Amino acid sequence: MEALPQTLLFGVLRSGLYALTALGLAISLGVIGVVNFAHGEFVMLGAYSGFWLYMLLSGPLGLGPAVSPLVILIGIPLSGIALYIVATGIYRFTLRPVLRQPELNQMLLTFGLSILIVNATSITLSPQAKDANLDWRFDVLDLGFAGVTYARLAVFAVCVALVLASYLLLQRSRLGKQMRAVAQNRLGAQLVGIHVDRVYEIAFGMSAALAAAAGVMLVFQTQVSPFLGLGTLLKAFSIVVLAGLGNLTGVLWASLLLGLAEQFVSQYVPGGSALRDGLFFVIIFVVLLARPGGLRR
Amino acid sequence: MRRDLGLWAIFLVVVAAVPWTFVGGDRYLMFLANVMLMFMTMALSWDVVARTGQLSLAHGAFFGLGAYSVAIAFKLWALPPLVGLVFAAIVVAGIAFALGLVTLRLRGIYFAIATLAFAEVWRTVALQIPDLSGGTVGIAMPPLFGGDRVASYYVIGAIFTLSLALSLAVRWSRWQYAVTAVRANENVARVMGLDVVRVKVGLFTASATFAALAGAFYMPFITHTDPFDAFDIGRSVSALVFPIFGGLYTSAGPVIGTIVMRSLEEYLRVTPPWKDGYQVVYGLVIVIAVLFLPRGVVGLAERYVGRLPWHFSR
Amino acid sequence: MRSHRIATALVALGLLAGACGGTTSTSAPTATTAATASAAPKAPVKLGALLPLSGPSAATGQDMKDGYELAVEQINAAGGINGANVQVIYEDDKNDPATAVASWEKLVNSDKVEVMMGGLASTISLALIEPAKKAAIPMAWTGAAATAFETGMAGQDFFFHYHPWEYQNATSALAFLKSTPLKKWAVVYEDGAFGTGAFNGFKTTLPAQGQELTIGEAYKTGSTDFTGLIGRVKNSGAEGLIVVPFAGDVIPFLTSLRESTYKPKLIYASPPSFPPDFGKSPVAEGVAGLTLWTTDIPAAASKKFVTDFTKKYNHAPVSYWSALAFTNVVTAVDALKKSGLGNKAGWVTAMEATSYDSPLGPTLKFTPSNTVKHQGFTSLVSFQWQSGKQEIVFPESLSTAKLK
Repeated sequence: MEALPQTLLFGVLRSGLYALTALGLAISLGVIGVVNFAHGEFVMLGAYSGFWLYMLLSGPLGLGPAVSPLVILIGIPLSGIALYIVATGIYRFTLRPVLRQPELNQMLLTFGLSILIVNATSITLSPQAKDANLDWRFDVLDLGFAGVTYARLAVFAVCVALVLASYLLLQRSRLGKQMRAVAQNRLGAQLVGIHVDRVYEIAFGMSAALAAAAGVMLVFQTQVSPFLGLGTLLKAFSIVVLAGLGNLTGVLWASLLLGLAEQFVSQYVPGGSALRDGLFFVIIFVVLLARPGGLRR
Repeated sequence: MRRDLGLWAIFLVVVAAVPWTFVGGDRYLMFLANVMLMFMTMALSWDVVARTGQLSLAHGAFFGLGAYSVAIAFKLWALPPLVGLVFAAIVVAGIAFALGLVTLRLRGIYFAIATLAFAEVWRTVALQIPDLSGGTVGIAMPPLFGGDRVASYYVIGAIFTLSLALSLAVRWSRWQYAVTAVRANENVARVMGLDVVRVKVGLFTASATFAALAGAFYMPFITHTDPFDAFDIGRSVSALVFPIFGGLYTSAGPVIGTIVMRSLEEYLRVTPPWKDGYQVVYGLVIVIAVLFLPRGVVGLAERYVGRLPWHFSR
Repeated sequence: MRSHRIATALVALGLLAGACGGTTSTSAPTATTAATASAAPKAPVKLGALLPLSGPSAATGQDMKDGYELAVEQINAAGGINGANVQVIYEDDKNDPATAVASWEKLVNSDKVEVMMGGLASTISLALIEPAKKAAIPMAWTGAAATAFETGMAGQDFFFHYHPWEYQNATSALAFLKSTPLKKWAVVYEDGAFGTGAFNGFKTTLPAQGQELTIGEAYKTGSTDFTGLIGRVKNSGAEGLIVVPFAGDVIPFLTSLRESTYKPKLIYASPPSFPPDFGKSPVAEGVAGLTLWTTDIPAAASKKFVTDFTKKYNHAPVSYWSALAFTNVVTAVDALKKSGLGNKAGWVTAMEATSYDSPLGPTLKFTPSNTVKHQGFTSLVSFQWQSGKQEIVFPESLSTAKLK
């Protein structure tokens, strides 16, 4: 059992990326109730912005060891703002006109957007997947029983920070309270004078900005490609629903559960790494059967 | 209703005449016609479940299970493909019945994700039992009727006709009130004395059976499949996109939606100058369609041809 | 609300125009060949190519298309086939069997192409076995290494296969592994057809040549963290580590290895292609691997190909698929020149006589493999990343450096 501390550590760290990609979706699904098929594409665009920033900082600017922290410090706000603007545009011109249509129509719309964005990206930027050779992906912090890359620690830290910030925003701020009100009862919120349409727009923009942040951090873990959205989306959806709609901290617990389970299986079960995806969805399935409303209460 | 029935009869005659009329011995078009009916079956069956308010993301998995059932039955007992169809239908109906029962309490998105999770597990299962499934290499079987695609067209045509019959039957019988009530408010429906379990599980099972039949046809038609192809999430997505595009909760919607979208995609895919970026155009068409056709193609038709003495959408 | 929708439609139209603009620029080479074709007196000779041009496999599909286009350009500049230009019609198979069969029927029956080329994923090629046997059209097949496909096409006269079969990949790898002093090997592989096929090869052949397979572990492609799996590999006591990953898994795997306390004496990785700029990453040094071709192969034809390719596309070939696709067109068209059009038997005879100094290094000749009659390339080279470059270390006759 010498591997136990390592397994625990990596299970926890692995859950960070899950939670981060699910976070934005939790807001758009929780507040607006739109099943956004294009959410994975927001993550993908965020990842490309992170990748470009890496190219710029390491190539022409040649900043060397400062590149990794700068990609996070500059990349998250910058691509967050950029995606916020893109998403509010998408909301105003495509989503808002169909908000009164059946939910399935909105889903079809976002599905169309997803195909559009993926393939436009693939044509204009090339379908070739690329790796960012960021220092933090390779530099290992020695913990004695194991090593861990700075990238994994950074992803986890950013994730926890963003989840907490979003949680505080929803609980404490006026805007957050409005969002929760709209999420619980759209009509009631309207009656007490909340500008529902504006709240939706902000929530959708925020969800895209969080997706962008997840995308930037994805560059620290894996390849950037126009097609990374779908796989990310399926798992993120499952996590949000497992947590229960509108349950932000539940996203953390759900991710932790899945991350640890996957890590234990790949460490202790022969051929376990091949079972990972299967296990992920088995857990989702079983938990949903046991608790039809997700982990929330 | 009688008038609509007449119209559907004409439609079926046209479908039956396809190999002898405008397809005219063209192997490419004949192949596409087969695939078209296969997707129409998927779309119709998905729509039937959607009418009860259940958004299924498992139809792609039922398709894959149908395909594997036929292939495995052939491998183990040399069961001919047409008998295999029946076998696949029985196997998948059993699985779907069980799934319908255990997911009964789940509503809306929770049901959707539970069916998605169910569907995603099968790929791993198929990879883990190579002795039965052929593992990653996949599984093969001889072509249906030696690759005669006119003959196979009538097989999938028959399956399609049955799925259409199911869709119309639900619409024209007292089930129509039951499914609408369940979709609108399950609790109220239950209070009013409706057997909600029977409606939901019954239709879910029937619908899954047709998705399985489509897959069971696909297997000997294409002759080879593997876990990544058979359990491709893309098929679940097609099964829901086509009906929404055509017009939900109708029989004409899924049929027309499939014809329009499949033809459009295929046309763009092979025709310059679109072929280099055809998926972009395809995505754009979907977005524009939702913006301007809130009730799908069928809704548009009703708006403009509504004065005609028939109601194709009913 | 209404005005927004109209605005949206306008934006959409703008996007559409943009997409078409992009289309014209990307298809510029095709347009020029078409223009010269119309100037030539004869109708163009059509070849069909089935490639993944959308979705995740599109990167390799594009590499192949680049190779085909370069060959077509050179052939047409040299007078085409008796004055008629060569034209390749590309179809996107979407990596979907049903789409691939539809495209096959269109190219063979509607476009009436002389030769069918392409095929990357085994799942596509396996679904094409029946249509191919029925059509019995000349096939100069580029990819698909699965043994099941070889069995399916057993004994077909019209079928010529360029890429080595998966067991030939394994044989090449094994010869290299045997030349190293290491005895205990672990295999880590992605659990799709590519990785599993390779692993099944190693499972029986490693012990047969007196080396021990300590453990075989499959994983899902796209994993970002391999520490659990590496723990199991370490416990197996392997000295050397064989990895059969996809390109995207290479760096996550090697970083996970850095995090663990396991230090194998040699890592032998054979992805279909390494990620771009892999040589510049700190984990590349010392990693050995298997490939059909690298841009540094010291053969005259290879150097010329790299120069021409770089001139046309402003970047060096990304993977060996470009060189393979180039060879594919050149040899198929040479045979067409000798046999004349519409002469299937003549084409087969002409192909059988092929002896071509290919950019891939070896002279291309078609010989029978286990079950098919005409197999092109049969062996691969082993290389090692040294100071950011792929140095060939095995076989010695082609090597550019020693294994470190």
